[in-house]
Amino acid sequence: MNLPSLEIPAKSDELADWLESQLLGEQLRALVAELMAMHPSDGQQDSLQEVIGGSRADLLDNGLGALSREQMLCLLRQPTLLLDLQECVLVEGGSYWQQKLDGGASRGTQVDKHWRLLEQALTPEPLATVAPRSPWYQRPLWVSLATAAAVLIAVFAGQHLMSPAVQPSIPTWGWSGDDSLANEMPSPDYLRRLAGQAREWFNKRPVDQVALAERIAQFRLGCTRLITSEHPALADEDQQWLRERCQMWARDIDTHLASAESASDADSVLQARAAMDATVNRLADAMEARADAL
Amino acid sequence: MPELESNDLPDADLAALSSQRSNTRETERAVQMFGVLYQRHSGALLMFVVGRSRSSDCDDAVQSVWLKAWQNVNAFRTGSFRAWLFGIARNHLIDEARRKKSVPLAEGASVVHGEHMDPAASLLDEERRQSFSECLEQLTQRERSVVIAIVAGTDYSEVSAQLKIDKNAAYKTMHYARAKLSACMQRKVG
Repeated sequence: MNLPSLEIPAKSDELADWLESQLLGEQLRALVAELMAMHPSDGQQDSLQEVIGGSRADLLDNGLGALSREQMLCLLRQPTLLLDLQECVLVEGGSYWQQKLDGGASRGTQVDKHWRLLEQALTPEPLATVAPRSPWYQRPLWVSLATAAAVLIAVFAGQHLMSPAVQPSIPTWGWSGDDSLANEMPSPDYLRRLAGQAREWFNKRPVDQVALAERIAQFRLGCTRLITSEHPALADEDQQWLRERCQMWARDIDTHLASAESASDADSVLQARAAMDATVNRLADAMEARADAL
Repeated sequence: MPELESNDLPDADLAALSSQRSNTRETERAVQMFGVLYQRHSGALLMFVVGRSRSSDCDDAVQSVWLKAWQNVNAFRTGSFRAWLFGIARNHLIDEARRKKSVPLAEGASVVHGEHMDPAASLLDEERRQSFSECLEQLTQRERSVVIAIVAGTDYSEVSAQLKIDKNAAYKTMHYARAKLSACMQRKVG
């Protein structure tokens, strides 16, 4: 009977390769059990990070050769850490580990067999959480933008006119957040804050047409808010710069919204999203560059 | 702009597309997207499960984990899909170990009830650990000392010095100990 614990190489230069083959092999559980029998735990154990220390990044990129012999022997003396190490390299490891993983021929056969069984079991049952199409999506672009902008301006310019019971569906992220235009800060910080709020676009990654169009529209509302608001934190020329840029970016955003609304399949939705990503990065970069120049 | 291939999509997008199944066409695409996730992570998941379950249970465990991932893929948003998948696997394996209630041990050993186990400990091969421990006890003191020292990384020169035996004797002791342990484990766990 094969006992993996008795196959530990005596030579240091072979130990790393052998241990890697164990981490990605079929005998790891047996190895851990045998080593536990030889090194009973007294309750005191290092964490994986304590053992591998500063070698972690190198280990994840280049394998166990990054560890010293003593580090590897320490892992073998605390064998449950081998399971932690395996999980660490499988989750965080780079291409070095993925190539090792992909190299197992027998594993490939098993994986293929599992997929054939799994594919049969995946049933076409609709998920309850799939968002239904929103009725507002049916309106022409200018109607939805004008209506939402009117609500937005009414709320920000004359809150006293609205009943406390009214709850407009205004986005609360990006430039539309309640405190997004807080002015009590130096000009560069104000611009950098606006850039950071713009990057909140990336906090959600919609992949369906409705969600993407809605999110672009929300961002576009924030743009309207920037154009129509005062920015006392900025000098006159910087305020003018901001409004002109917002109007220019607004035209790009309108184009992306139209693309999202006319997207015919998932790929075109993702292309529209990618285009919007690029615009958001461009405008945030511009704000940060302006802040750096002040 | 070049058309995006599914193999180029990040895991978060594939997961989101896998959760869109409001009609047959969408479901077919969802299966296709999920298949890409499967291709990327199946090898790693298999190794994770192999390291934490009996070999006879691995196939069922892997299938169960992927089915749970399919059923809950709409819950995955950001971060590492593989770490999320391993979380599902870990919980499944622990639940299975608890469900079994007891861990079969070698003859003469006490039964450990799964429900009182530390969750992580329930994934360890307690049967093999117990059996190996008993087999070690059946070695002579010298054999046991040589085996433990060699496995701990001590070289034969140092072992022979510690035990006050010559190096050839240390090699022979390890050779006989290995054979005895192998035979003993074969009897206990097959």
